[in-house]
Amino acid sequence: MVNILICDDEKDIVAALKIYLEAEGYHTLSAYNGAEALEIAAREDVQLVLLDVMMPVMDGITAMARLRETSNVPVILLTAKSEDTDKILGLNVGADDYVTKPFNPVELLARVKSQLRRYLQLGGGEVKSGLLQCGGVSLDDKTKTVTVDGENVALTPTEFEILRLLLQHPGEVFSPAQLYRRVWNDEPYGAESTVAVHIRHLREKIEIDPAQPRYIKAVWGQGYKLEGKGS
Amino acid sequence: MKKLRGSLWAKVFAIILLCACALTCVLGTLATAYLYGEGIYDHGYESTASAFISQLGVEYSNNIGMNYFVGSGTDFYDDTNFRYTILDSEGETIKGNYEGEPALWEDTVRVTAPHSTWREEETLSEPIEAPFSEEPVEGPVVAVTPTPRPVEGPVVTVTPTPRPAGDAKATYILIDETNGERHEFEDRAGVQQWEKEHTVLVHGYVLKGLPAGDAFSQRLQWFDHLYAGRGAWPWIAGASFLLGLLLVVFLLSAAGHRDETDAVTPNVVDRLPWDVVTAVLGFAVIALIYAIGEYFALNAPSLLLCMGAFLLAGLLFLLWCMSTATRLKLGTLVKGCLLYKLLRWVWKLVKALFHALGKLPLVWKWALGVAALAFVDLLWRMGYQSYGDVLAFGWLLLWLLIGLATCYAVLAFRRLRKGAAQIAAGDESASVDTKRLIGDFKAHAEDLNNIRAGLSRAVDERMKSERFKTELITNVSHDIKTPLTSIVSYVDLLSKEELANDKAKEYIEVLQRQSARLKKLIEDLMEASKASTGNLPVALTRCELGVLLEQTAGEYAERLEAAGLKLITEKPNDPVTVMADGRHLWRIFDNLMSNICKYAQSGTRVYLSLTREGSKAAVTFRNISREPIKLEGTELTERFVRGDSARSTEGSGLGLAIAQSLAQLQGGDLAVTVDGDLFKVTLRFPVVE
Repeated sequence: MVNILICDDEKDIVAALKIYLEAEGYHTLSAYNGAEALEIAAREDVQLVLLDVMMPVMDGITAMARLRETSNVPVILLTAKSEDTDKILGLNVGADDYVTKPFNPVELLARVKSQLRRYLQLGGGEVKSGLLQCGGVSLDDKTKTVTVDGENVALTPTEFEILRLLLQHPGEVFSPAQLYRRVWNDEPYGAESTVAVHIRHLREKIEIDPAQPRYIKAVWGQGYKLEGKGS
Repeated sequence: MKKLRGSLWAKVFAIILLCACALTCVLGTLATAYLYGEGIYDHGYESTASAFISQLGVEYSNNIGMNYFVGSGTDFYDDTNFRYTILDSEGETIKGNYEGEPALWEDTVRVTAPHSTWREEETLSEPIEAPFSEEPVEGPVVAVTPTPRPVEGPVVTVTPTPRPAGDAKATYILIDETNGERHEFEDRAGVQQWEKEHTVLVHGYVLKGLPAGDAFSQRLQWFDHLYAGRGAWPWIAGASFLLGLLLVVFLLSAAGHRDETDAVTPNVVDRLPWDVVTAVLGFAVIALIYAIGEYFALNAPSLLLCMGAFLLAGLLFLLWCMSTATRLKLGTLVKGCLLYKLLRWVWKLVKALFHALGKLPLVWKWALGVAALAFVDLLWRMGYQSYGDVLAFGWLLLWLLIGLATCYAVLAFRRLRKGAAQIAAGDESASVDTKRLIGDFKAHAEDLNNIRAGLSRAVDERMKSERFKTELITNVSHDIKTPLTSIVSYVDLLSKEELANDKAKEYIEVLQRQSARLKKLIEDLMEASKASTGNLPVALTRCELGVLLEQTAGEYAERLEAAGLKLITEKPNDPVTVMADGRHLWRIFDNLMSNICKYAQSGTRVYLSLTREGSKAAVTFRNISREPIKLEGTELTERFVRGDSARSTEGSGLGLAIAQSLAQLQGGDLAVTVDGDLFKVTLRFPVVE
C-alpha cells in the first residue's frame, strides 16, 4: 500500500487530489499546513508528499527542510509561484519535482507515478552494461529499448539515435546541424528544422510536460542538450 | 552727572562759561604772543618797554619832520615826554628842544619834503598821467619795521621807475607840495639832488621816567600791566583752554538730553537736515570770520565788534557740534541729510524704473535697448562732426560695452542651451546654474530647473505606480491561481463522471476550454507586467538567430500544418549571432508564431526571414491575416489590444506587448507593420561578430 501525504491549505484542492490519487489505487493522508504535514509524516509511513508552498502556520519550504532532516521521501511542490527563482529555491532545498498552479491533474498524476517508480522500484538501481541512463530515462543499446521511469517508450530509429547521442554526451549542447550530421550522416543543406521536429516528437514521448522538459532541453539559438547526470 | 546733563540751566551756564573761557584764552594767548614777540622773555623790561613805545616815537619824529617842511611850527609835542633835534642831511643841527636828558628811547628818522614827480617825454607836450606809480605819491612813505631792535633808521623811498630803454630823452617834473613850486630836471640825478637838499634827519628822544602824563606814559602803563602778568598769561591761556575743552566735552555729551534718563530728544535744529544745517552754519561762521578779518582795527568799538563776532561764530560752531553729537547719538546723522533723502529718492526712482522695465515684455525690452543705443549713436555721430577727437574714445567705450553685453548674452544662452540639452536627454541630476545670470536669463534658467524637477518627479511617480501595478498584478494572480486550480481539477473530475446528458458533456468541454484560457491569461498578464517594468532577470548569451529560426520552424511544424499554413524560412549562409537571453528570445518567437497560427489565413504562406541590415540583424515574420486588421501597427503592441475587435478567438491580447517588452529588455526592438492584410513583425537586434 502506497501512502501519499497531501498538504494544502485549500481543502477543495486536497479533496480533488484525494479523488484522483485514490482512483489510481493510492492511500492518501490529508494535512492543511506544514506543521500538520510534519506531524503525519513522523507518525505514518509515507511514500510521497505533495506539498503546497504558501500555507499558514508553517509554509511548504520550511516544512520540507524539516522533513529532509529525517527522510528522503519524494516531495512534489505545488506552487502558485511560477518564477524560475522560486522553482530553483524549491529544488535546492530538497524538492524532487514541482507543479505550478493551476495544474493539470493528469500531469500531476504522471509526475506522482514517475517519482514513485523511481523511489520504490529503481531505488537500488543496479546498472546493466550497455545501458545509458539519465534520471528516469534509460536506453538499452542492445535491445534497442527505451524506458522512462520504468515504462517502455516506443521510439522511431531516428529518435532513438538522437536520444542515444544526447545520452552519450549529457550536458553537451548540439546544434541542429551537428545533430543532423551525426544522426543522418549527411550535410544538412537547410534541413536543420527536421532535427527540431524530431526533437519535439522525442520530447513528447519521454517528457511529462513537453513545454517544460526535464531531460531534453532546448538551448534557444544554440541547440539541444540532455540535462541531468548520465551514467 | 546725569542730572547736570539733563539740565537746561547747566548748559546755559556752561555756554556762558565757555564764552568767558574763550575770551580769556584768546586774551591770554594774544598777550603771551605779544610779549613773546616783543622779546620780553629774552631781553628784560628796559629794552622791551622802549620797543613798546618805539612805534609812537617814530610817528612823533615823522610829524616833527613834516611840520618842519610845511613850516607850521614844531613845538606841539613840547608838553609831552618827547624831545627832538632836527639835523640837515650833512648832519648840522638846525633846531631842537633836546637838552641832553636821559632818554628811555631815541632814534633817527629821515624825512624828505613832500613832493611829487613826473617824467615828461620830449615829444609829448602833455604830461603823461602817473607813468611810473599807480597813484600820485602824497608825501613820503615811511616804512617802519617794528623790529625788537631799532634799525639804522626809517627809509624814505620815493622811487620813480624810468621807462625802459629806447626813450632817448625825458624831462622830470617835480612839484614841491609844501609851497606848490614846479622844478624841471633833465635826468634822475637832478631829482635825487633836489631830494637830498630837501631831506632832514629828525633825532627823537623819549625822556626817561616819563615826567609828563601823555600817550607814552599811558602806553607804558598798559605795558606795565601786561608785563606784570607776564608769568601768568600762558597759564591763564592754558587753563582757560583746558576748562573750555572740558566744557565742550560736557556740552557734547549733554547734547540732546532733556532729563535724567538716557533718552536723546532732538530739538528744532536737530530735526533739520544735517547737511543744510552744516551749510547754513558753515556759511555764517565763514562770513563772520571774513568780517572780522575785514573790519579788524586797533580801536575799542572795532575790537568789541570783532570780539562779539568771534563769540557768535564760536557759539554757532558749538551749536553745530552739539547738533552733530545729538544726531550721532540718535544715529540720524546720515539719514537726516537732505542729500541722503534726495539720493534715496533718486535710487528708488531708478529702481522703480528698472522694475517697470523688467516687467516689460522681452520684445519691448529689446526694442527699447536698441532704440537707446541708436539714439546714443546718433548723438555721437552728430557730436563727432565738431568734437571728433574727444568722442573717439567714447565711441570705443560704447562698442566695448556693446561687445561685453553681447558676450554675456551669448554665454548665458550657451549655459541655458546646455542645461536644456541635458534635461532633454533625461539627465535627472542636470540643473542650470543661475549664478551670475540676470533678468530674463535667470527666469528662464529657473523655469528650466522647475521643468527638470517636475519631470523627474513625474518619472519617479510613474515608476512607483508601475511597480505598484506589477506587485498588484502578481499578488492578484497568485490569489486567482488557487481557486482556478480547484476549478480545473473539478471540471476534469466532472468530465470523467458518467453523464447521460450529451449537452452536459458539451458544457463541460466549454468549461475546460475557458478555464485553460483563464490560466493562460493570468500567466500572460503576469509576464506582461514583469516584462514591461523590466522586473525579469536577463542573462545575455550568444545566440545564433539562424539556429533559433530552425528550432522555431521545427517546434511549430505540426501546428502550422494543422492551421493549413506553409512556413518558408530564409536566412543567410553565414551565421548571424546576437547577444540575447535564449529563453526570452524564444518566448518572443513563440508568441509571434502562436499568433500566426491563430490569426493567419488558412492556405497561405508564412515567411520567416533573417537578414542583416548593417550592424543589425532583422528577423521578419510575415503572414496574411484572416480577418481585416483595423488598427495601426503601433497600436497592436499596446496591452490587451487585439486585431479582431470581437475578441472571440483565444488569446489574451498580450502576446505582442510581451514580445515587444522582452525585445526591449534585451536591447532589441520590435516593430509591427500592417499593409492591408499583410501582417509583418520585424525584430531587430544588434549583431555581435
